Amino acid sequence: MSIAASLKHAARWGGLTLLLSLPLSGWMLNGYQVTTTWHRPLWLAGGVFVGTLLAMALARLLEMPPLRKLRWRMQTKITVTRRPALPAWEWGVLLTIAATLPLWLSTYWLNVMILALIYAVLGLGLNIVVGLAGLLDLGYVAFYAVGAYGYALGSQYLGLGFWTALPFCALLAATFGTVLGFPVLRMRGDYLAIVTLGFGEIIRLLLNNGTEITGGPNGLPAPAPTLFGLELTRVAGQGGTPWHTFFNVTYNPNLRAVVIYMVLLAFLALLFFCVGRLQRMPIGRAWEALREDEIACRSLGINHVTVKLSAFAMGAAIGGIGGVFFAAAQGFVNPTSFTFFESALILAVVVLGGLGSSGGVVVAALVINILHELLREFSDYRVLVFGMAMVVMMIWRPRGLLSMRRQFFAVGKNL
Amino acid sequence: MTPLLTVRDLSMHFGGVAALQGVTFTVARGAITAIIGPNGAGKTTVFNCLTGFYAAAAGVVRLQREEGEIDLMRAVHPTLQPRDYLNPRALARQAYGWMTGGTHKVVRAGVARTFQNVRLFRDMTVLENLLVAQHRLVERRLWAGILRTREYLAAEAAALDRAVAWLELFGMFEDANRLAGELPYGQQRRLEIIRALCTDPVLLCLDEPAAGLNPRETQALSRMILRLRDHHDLTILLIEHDMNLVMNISDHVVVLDHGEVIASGTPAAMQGHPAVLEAYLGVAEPVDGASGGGLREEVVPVSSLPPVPPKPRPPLIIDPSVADIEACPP
Ligand SMILES: Nc1ncnc2c1ncn2[C@@H]1O[C@H](COP(=O)(O)OP(=O)(O)O)[C@@H](O)[C@H]1O
Ligand SMILES: [Mg+2]
Repeated sequence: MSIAASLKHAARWGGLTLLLSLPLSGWMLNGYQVTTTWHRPLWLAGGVFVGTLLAMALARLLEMPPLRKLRWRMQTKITVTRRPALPAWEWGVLLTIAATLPLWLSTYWLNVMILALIYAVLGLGLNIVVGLAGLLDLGYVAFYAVGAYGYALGSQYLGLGFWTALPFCALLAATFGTVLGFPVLRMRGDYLAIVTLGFGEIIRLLLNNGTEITGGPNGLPAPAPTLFGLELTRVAGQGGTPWHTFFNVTYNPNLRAVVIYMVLLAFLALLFFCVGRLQRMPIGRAWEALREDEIACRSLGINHVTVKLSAFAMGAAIGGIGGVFFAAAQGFVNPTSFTFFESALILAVVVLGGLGSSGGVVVAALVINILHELLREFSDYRVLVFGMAMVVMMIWRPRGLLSMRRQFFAVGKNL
Repeated sequence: MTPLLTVRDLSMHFGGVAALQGVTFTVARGAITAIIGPNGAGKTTVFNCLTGFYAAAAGVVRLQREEGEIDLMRAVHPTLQPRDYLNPRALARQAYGWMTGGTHKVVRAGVARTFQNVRLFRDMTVLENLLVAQHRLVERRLWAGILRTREYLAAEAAALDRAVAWLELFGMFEDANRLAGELPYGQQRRLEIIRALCTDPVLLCLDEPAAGLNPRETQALSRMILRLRDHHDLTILLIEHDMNLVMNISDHVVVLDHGEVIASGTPAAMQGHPAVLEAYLGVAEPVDGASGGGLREEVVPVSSLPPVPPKPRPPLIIDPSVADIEACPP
């Protein structure tokens, strides 16, 4: 990029930051008056501008011949270029903004954001099953429930903590996914949808009726996460130390939400990265190929059973992790959180975002959840508005908000 | 010539319809063998049996590779012996085989195929189609791909190299990043062949590769097939209706009718073979003037033909490449 182009690019991002941060941090409510403070948004925008320039200079530097050798280059005649939707540093800016949200948002909106991020996680998981592998799963909520109850029950009976529950519930849900996968291996389309729908309901009914273990409709408490062994509650359980006692600060009831939000954000970022890689890996391509034509897949030596099961298991594991976050954030689980409506909502996130498009799914999860809250006043018509929005979307953008980006390879003729 | 593939007494029926009855033929290593026959003769069914999509009722399909002999039917559809009923491993293997269908083992053995109706991954790019075909050849460990280890990148680059080399050979280099579904029909057929080649086979089975191609494309196709045989060490088994193509390029012809091999031999011998003419045209005499064009119906003046009696066809005609293959009885 030339210097002028770099400047323009940096100016664009600086301007955008200014626009965004003006309402967020530039206007201060002072009694009944709004006072505009310019210095904070200007500092932010200036920082982004300079940061962008530095990042681009660094990228430029790495392209210089002596430094280029430092980078691992593929020893092939073919140059493969991967053009990510956004360059890495732009991801950094987005993440930084997302990570500073708890400073600005009220507890209420922070909880909305947590739910939105959980939906984003669930959407990414379901996207593997529906968007990539093309297996219409209407019972995805079952894995979400398995994760949430796995955490609640695990902490009650096995003394599992939040951090051990994450991998444990992922494995548990993956097992459930595989168990569901076996009987539906030979099914497709509508049949598969009905069976998975039934599976979701079975899990919910089991939870509802297994009163002795799951508490039935009354649900179960789920403990708050701990951070480096410190508890985030006002009063610690046996043997635990609460955070505020340890640091000798006053108790902040928001802390639980903030910690969950940050952990969730980090997990979502990691998941986003991994799913992006998976899509461009042999397994991801095999999922898509399976969606396109199963018979052709088999004729190419792909074991369609393992590929299908891996999609189910992977999607389920991610759903389970979403469930753990949900339980930890709510502090409580009961079967009403895992109705078919949830499955439909997650599916809507995937379809609205764009089948196979991770970015779209995250955007759709945010949009749907935030809209959901904004429309709270019209709660009677919320689902109606939602349905109409879906219809309009499908007419306007049938492939979703951000349609999936294919991987293109820059291939050069052999010299 | 040493045989690469031996098919013996292959039988298959759908319900009461006998689709194949004791089909026996061999495919010589490094040769082009053509299977011809009227529609519904069972040609595609032969392919489906030897690539493991159908479980034949009886018969042996043997692939004699240099490394050793593989019984394809056994590999794909293992039969449970009475003494295995208490052997958990054998039972598990059987259950696994029952679920997977085992078609991937055929590909591992070195047999690749195309379909009568093009079956591409239409929403994926040409290169992605070819990378999927190399699934079993590339680095598949999850962490390696997520972390992009050196080995993974090298394996991916090698896969791309192979794909691009085949694309260049078939003159489709420019289309590398196009969506497969967007290609013109002729290119789609070609891409399906390239995709089969990317599985690194020893035996390439082509189901009517020239169907729907224009004469120029057919010409190019026959040159390609010859080239694959001569320079790429491939053995080719071909189902084809275009008699010009069959007569020009094949080394050996097997004629199938009503699920039976009615004749086999060199293309020249098949041209005048009475049984073949009978099957195709309903006449038993050799037809004059059909020397260049082989058995193409248009060289026979229609008026000179006796009225064709309606042939007793099997009652149910379902194209297997359209029909749900899963639905077939085991
Ligand atoms: N899946 C199937 N179900 C029922 N009948 C089938 C199936 N596949 C093939 N057949 C029958 O087998 C016979 C041979 O079909 P096929 O092998 O497709 O013929 P060809 O390829 O020579 O035109 C046909 O009569 C067809 O009806
Ligand atoms: Mg056929």
